[in-house]
Amino acid sequence: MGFPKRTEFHAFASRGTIMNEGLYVDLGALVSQQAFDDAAATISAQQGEEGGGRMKRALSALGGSKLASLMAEKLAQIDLLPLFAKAWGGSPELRAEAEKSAADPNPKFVRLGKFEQIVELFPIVKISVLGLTSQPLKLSLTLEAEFDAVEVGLAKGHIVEAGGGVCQLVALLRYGQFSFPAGLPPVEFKLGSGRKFEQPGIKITGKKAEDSTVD
Amino acid sequence: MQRSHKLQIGHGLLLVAWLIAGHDIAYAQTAGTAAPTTADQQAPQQSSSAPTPTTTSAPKDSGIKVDPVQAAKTIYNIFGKKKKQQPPQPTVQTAPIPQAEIPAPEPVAATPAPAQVQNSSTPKTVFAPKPSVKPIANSPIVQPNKKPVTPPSQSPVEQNIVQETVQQSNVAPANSSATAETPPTLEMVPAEEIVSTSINSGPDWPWIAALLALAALVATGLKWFFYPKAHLDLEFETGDSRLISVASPFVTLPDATFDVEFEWGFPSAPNFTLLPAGGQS
Repeated sequence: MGFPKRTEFHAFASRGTIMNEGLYVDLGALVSQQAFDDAAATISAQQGEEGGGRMKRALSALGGSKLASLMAEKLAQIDLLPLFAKAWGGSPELRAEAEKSAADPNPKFVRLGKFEQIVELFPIVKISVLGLTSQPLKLSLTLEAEFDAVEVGLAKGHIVEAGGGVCQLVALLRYGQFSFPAGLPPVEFKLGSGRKFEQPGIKITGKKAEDSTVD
Repeated sequence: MQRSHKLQIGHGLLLVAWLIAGHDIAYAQTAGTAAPTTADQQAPQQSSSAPTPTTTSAPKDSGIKVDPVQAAKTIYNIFGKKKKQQPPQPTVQTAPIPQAEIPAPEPVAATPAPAQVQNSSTPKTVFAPKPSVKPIANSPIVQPNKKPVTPPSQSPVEQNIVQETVQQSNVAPANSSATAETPPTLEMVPAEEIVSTSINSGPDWPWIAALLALAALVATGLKWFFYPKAHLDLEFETGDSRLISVASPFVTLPDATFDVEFEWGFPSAPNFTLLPAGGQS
């Protein structure tokens, strides 16, 4: 019972699987450099027509590599697992299990079958020159995940812990109506021995859990 | 911004004008002190007749005092459209050295020096040269081919005396003891020549051009120093890329800084089945 031991995943890691306590992803593994270059060029061209010359020059200095490093640096600090878990309460089965464990102070663990889920992230790029900040550039990073055999701990109607299993991710970078395919195969992330969420955990509801706590 | 820029250029031009005026006033001081020298040289001719009592207020005591009229005319001639030769100032022309200060020309002894040629019918009236006095540069007197300007009242005898004096000024005196105490009364330059020389041959215009160029350079530097920031701000706000074209090529603009923040939407609802914990899907 419970989560597998950490050592059991070392074999997966040696085969190229990325180990994670939560779900921290390396954007460089999901989006190719060519996609970033194309995105930066498109942004520069679009903003150059709409904005001023200085903005165009600043965006030309942005470049694909700069854009990639900026986005990757920020994305590497975000645990995606709680983001996905916020929608898991939409499953009637999981809600029923949560109601059973409402009175039990100890967490009850259940394993989720294979499922797909999509979450959309919006990288917002701000450019500052001479103390002035331009209008933010809103990009879109769509993550398509396939989870398999993820175990969750339920307590008092909340998801308090998640881990185990694997998650395969693919990403698609977009700017406005332009899409920049990654051109890369899915990347498999091995979830760690368990990610404990901050108390009281992620609330299980049948709707969008805006009040859920995500740390 | 345009207005302040014009003000800066105006201030620069005002500064240049002030510098030029100061320079020419100082130059006029030199000319003003030189003019009495001319009068001094004319003094022997007038002193023989009847020196006016008012001439005792000699301009020599003025030292470096500026004649305002002379300075103003000098400035006018510089900034004016047409340069004219100013008539000699009355103060300059009628300012002879008092009779007591300029001794009368001493007659040379009966034995003439070898270099002296007695053209005069009165051999006792030959002026003794002063070896220490050199001819004034650019003065028409020292030009051997130029005829010195002499007042019409000069007699032929006096003209000969003046010419011989000029010739002898370049010759070492034969009898130095007789001329050792001779005052500087050898050159006779009309006041008109002095005034016109100070105006026409002075290096004023190159100085003015240099100062104007310097002022323009300073104004341009100020523009390039202060202009780009405001125009870049405006360009950034309005998006008008034409404003960047006036920015300075010498000002290094700071690089843009980038910042990325992430927002996210609510994920899609999954569709999964529950498995026993630890089981396989």
